[in-house]
Amino acid sequence: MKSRHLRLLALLALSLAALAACSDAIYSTIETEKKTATNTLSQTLSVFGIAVSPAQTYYVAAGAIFKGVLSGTTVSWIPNASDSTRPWNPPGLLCNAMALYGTNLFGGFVAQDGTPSLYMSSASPYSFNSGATSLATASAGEQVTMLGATAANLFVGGATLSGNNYVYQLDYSSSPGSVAWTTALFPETILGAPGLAYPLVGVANLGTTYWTASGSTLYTSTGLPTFTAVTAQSWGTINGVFADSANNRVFVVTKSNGIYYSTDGGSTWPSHIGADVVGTATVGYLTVAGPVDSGGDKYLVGSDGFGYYTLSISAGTMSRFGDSTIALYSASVSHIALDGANVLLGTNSKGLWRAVFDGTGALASGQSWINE
Amino acid sequence: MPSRVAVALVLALACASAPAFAADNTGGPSTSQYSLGDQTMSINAGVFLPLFLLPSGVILMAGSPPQLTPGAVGSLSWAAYVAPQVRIGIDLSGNFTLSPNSNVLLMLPVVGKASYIFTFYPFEVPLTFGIGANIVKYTSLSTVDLLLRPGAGFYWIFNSSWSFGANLNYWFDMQFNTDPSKSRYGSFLEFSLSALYHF
Repeated sequence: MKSRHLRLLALLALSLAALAACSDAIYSTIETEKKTATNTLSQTLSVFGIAVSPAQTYYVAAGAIFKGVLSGTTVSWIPNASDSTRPWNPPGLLCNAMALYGTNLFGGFVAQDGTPSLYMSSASPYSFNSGATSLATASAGEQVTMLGATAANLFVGGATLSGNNYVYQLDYSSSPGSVAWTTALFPETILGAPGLAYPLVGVANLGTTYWTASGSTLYTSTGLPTFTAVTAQSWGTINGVFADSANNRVFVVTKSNGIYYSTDGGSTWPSHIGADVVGTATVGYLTVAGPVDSGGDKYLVGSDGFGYYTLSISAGTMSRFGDSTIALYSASVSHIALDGANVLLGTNSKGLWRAVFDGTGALASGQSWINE
Repeated sequence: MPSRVAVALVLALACASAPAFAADNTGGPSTSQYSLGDQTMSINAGVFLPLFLLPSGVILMAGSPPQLTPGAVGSLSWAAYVAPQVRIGIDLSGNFTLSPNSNVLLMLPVVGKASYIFTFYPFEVPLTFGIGANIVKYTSLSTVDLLLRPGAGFYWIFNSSWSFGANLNYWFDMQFNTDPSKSRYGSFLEFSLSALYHF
């Protein structure tokens, strides 16, 4: 009786374990895990913008503005986690949006009491403190929620309180330093709405054609300031737009419908990669940048909580960065900047990451992600 | 395929060894005060030491930082006497250790076990063999492994209801993978203090 019980127990345990042979390999993952290299920035930064100018010089907006200079294999950051001074910020203001346009950086700021402001930095080396210019926005009290630079214009996405609700608008200027704003016209605003109901999430352009998105609508313009809705797809909630002028491609990243992209300059939108599903979670995508290979085929896609993906145009697929042992694996990657072989990823509350790529869209041999 | 051969081998060994644990006790250093039908509950807590992985041979606590840190372990155990010096039961455990990036390796095994107890009144020394399923979780990865857990204990019999002591258990955790090159067998050591209640 007793031996029968034991045999039964052994059989049960062995059957369970044999059936459970699976694709997850925990111990072989642990035995190769390397401690993430860190630098001097806080590892809990939330990044709202990254600018590279000139090469190997980085400006990162994360409340404070951090300036880093790459020398050899290390970036020296001023200020950093042990330095509470804010030498590049306007006094007392926090940066929530940043873009490089022409010979200046432009930044959206908020004060502790919520008062919004827009600044143009000094010329390189950029500073919003010394030599900066405070700019009027197109509407009084307009909070800058997005800054986007194209070759010909700086675009400002703004939010303004209207009654009890915020309404959103897009303004642009070819000479923002002289505060000559033009407000973009959308079908809704032409029909009399005070503004859009959802924030503008980005601006992209190829030549004289522009794209922007608000809510689940993609807009395009071939003659500013008028935008029309693009109805080629049911986009779902759009999180960002990106254009690659070298390869005539436009990308639309969405909250739950994956990525749509056009390979003919936005004339048609036949290409779609559905959202990845991890467990029961549908992956949302936040941003795209690239190409990151010499063949112009691969792009990096930032996700909302699942690190980053590599999109291959030729294969029509996306693959998730696979190192589950580092914090980047589960980060929300909201900003991507390229500086030659160096790739910088800005995350929501998991800091800034940098790695060197090899020209094929993968990390260079012996390289790993550094949590700056 | 090799993993299935290993499973078959372990199954054969486990089944062959079962009668040894189940044999009625006919002697011992001194007489047990317990008999068929008596039961025990114990609570255990202690340290959990990662040792090495096979077949790669990686020493888990070597290096700076180590691949896994020393961790903590706790368990609840129930057993029933099937003979004056043999008891069988089940054990629910949990332990954790940390990786170089402070990721938590979590194990939650369910182990069936058999113990042969040598009594040297007022002490007793149980020799235990356990086998079970080990639920292992690490970052977004999870597996259910086969766990073999031999061990020994040393207890002071405080009275007929309570004993207090310590356990030293060796964990051999067999993690089979669909890609055999990623199959690993983890070795760990548990040292825990224990309070055991007889009823």
